[in-house]
Amino acid sequence: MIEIMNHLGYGLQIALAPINLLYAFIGCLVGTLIGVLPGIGPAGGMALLIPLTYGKEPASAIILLAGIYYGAMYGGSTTSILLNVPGEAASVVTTLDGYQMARKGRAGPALSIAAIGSFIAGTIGVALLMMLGPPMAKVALQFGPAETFALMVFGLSTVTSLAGKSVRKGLVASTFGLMLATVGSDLPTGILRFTFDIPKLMEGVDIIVVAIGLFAVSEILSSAEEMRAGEFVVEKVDRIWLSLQDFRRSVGAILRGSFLGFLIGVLPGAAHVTASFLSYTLEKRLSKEPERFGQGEIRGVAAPESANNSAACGALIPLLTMGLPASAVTAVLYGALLMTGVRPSPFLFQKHPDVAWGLIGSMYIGNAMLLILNLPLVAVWVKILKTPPRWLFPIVLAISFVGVYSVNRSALDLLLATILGVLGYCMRRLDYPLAPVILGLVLGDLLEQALRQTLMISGGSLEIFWRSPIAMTLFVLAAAVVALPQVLYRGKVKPAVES
Amino acid sequence: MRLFGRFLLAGLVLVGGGLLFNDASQAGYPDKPVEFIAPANPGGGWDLTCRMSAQVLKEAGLVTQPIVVVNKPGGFGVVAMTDITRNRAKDQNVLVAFSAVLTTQMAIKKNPFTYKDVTPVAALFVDYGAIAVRKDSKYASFKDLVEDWKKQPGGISFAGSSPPGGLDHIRIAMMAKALGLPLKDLRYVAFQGGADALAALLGGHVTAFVGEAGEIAGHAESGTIRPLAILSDRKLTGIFEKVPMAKEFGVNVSSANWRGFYAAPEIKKENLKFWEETFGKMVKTKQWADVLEKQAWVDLFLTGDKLQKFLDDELAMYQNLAKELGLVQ
Repeated sequence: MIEIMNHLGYGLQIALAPINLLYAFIGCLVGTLIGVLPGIGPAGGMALLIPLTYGKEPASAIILLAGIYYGAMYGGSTTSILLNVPGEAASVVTTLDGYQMARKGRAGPALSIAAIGSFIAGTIGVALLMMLGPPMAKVALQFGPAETFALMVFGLSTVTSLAGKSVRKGLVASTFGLMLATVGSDLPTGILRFTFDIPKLMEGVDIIVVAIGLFAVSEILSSAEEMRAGEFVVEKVDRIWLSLQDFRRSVGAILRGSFLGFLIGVLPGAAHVTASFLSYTLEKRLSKEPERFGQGEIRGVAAPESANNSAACGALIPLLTMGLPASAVTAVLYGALLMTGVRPSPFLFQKHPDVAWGLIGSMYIGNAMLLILNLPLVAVWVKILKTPPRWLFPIVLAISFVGVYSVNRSALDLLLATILGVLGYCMRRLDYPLAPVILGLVLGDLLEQALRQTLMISGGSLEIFWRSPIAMTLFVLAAAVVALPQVLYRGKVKPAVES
Repeated sequence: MRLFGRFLLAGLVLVGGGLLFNDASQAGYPDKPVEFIAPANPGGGWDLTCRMSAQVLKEAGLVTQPIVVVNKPGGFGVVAMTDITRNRAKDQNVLVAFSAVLTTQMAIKKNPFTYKDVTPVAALFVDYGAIAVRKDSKYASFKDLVEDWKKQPGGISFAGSSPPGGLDHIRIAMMAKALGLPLKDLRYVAFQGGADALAALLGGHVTAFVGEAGEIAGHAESGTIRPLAILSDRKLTGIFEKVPMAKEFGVNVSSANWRGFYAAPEIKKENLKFWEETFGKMVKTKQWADVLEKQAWVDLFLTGDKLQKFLDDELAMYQNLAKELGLVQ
């Protein structure tokens, strides 16, 4: 412990050097903006700023780029809450309760709790990263294809808590997401599926394009309709800041989200997204009033926003302790480190302590910066809601389409987003939930890939799952998530399944 | 709302600033910023080829115009190639990274385009194939692994990062062929990238790793994995100095993945010449030598007719292999 404190002292010393403070600040600021603006995600944003790190110290380079990464996790909630437009995939689940809070005049508390939750979770996450890095890395390695498959099944089981009134409709929506995930070049065989000879579709459908189309475009369509009918009401903002009562209500969710998010972050698979969906489900399952979720429950914002931040810390572990970039974002960090002459390896902490500990030190500071940066912004963001809808909607639509285009600079994506927007509008009218589509799309790829890798390894035998205690545990947990509420809440609330 | 607009603007300016951070103006070609396209996600081999070259070219002052690295992933390079051939055929200011992935893809007919549809500029270096196991594996040497493999051809699983028919799969198939093993029993597991394949090896989920020396350099150095053999016809230096070549064990397989750049089909002759000469100067710099050593890459510089012949020969070889391996009809 004393040793860790010494190292941390060394790391803070590096992070507090004026130039590194500046880099951390730039990283956090750009990250927040990337998170706020829908479209280009943290990986893309980091890749854009790599040229800024040419010729810099490796520690400065990684401090800057990592700042973008966790900064984006802060910013992602803003548009989810205010406009029902997820800034990036990890914030999709935040739209469920965040946007409802905003419609009820509670955008301020929603944004504040997202920022405070992110700060607490980010700080807990980096503390856990510092203390538990190497042992957690061993846990991550236990997750081979079989375990990853089970984890994805577990992740998918959360669909039952996102489904709203009808589990059946939730399943239909998530199946649609799973189907979208099959578009593109199939990894195990390289065969093209559902690409219709369009080269752009070979890499599949981009998650953020689907998220913006499905959520933002359809939101505008249905709001415009409500407006014409005179039904579109956003209640006046009654208070900008969080009440103590709100905070008390959320603190458990923030802490649970922090630890759960960190754990999921270390594991392979779409860490931030899975973490945010799982923590939302956890809160809903633990709550005495699960029916409040989806209606503007503050815990439904606090939990996923905390989880995606600590997941960002967890996801750094495989890179820092083993030199293995496990996600698109950490792959950019890996590349950037190579460029500065540092080869990430299991010896990073020994060979380049300035990089590893400097990064850890800067993350404590960066989290504080982000809180200071984001809390005053709440007052600014809330003002957006005062804009008359007839001005606001076209602007949101424009920003959304710029965002879609920025992902791959492809006109086809604009068309896709429009089609999905119309589809999302129909789904809303028919009362189908939208979030399960994103869940299915994010997990579908990994789910299928992991299953097929597992079967390649085992030579086609399913016995491999039996032999993995981790996989079996996750299957049981998944079954529990699906089955328990049906048992527990029977008679208490209306049965979840439609007659 | 005005404030929101201002933030938006500030964001765009900041992000854009990353692109326009350089100042340069000089007579002659290139008179505009140059785009290096990595047809894959950041962090991979093509991305590194672009970024390392861009860095050395800037540092050595060989290109004064800004070089912007753009990632355009999809279909193992097909998306970028489609864009260049269809929409940017006359673009003088764009280079795209390519590698043996293109020739293997052509051999198994996975890419509608070929190197004849674009202008190959240069091959810059090669990364040799490597076979590795976890440090506590029961296979102390390549010989042990091969003997066990012969006894149970389906009992050894290899993790690699190319799709079936891709380079890593071909490497395993070439080894099996050299040993006379039945190809239908091979157990090759495709992962999304070298890092995922390595993680599966380190977690003990597969028996062995097949990939490139550059991908495992960090782990070989730190001793978490044991490189058993290099698939090359010459000894590597540095970290891999003591690792034997597969052919020393009678498995006569050499498999190198070269990397380089191609340009638009209608690049002007003088501009092509500029890049051939510039890359020729780049590979002679000290900075480039450092890059090669750090990445465990081996130098190979080919342009013009030599490059053409090299590509033709390689394609013919992979076409034969693909037929023999039953990857194409």
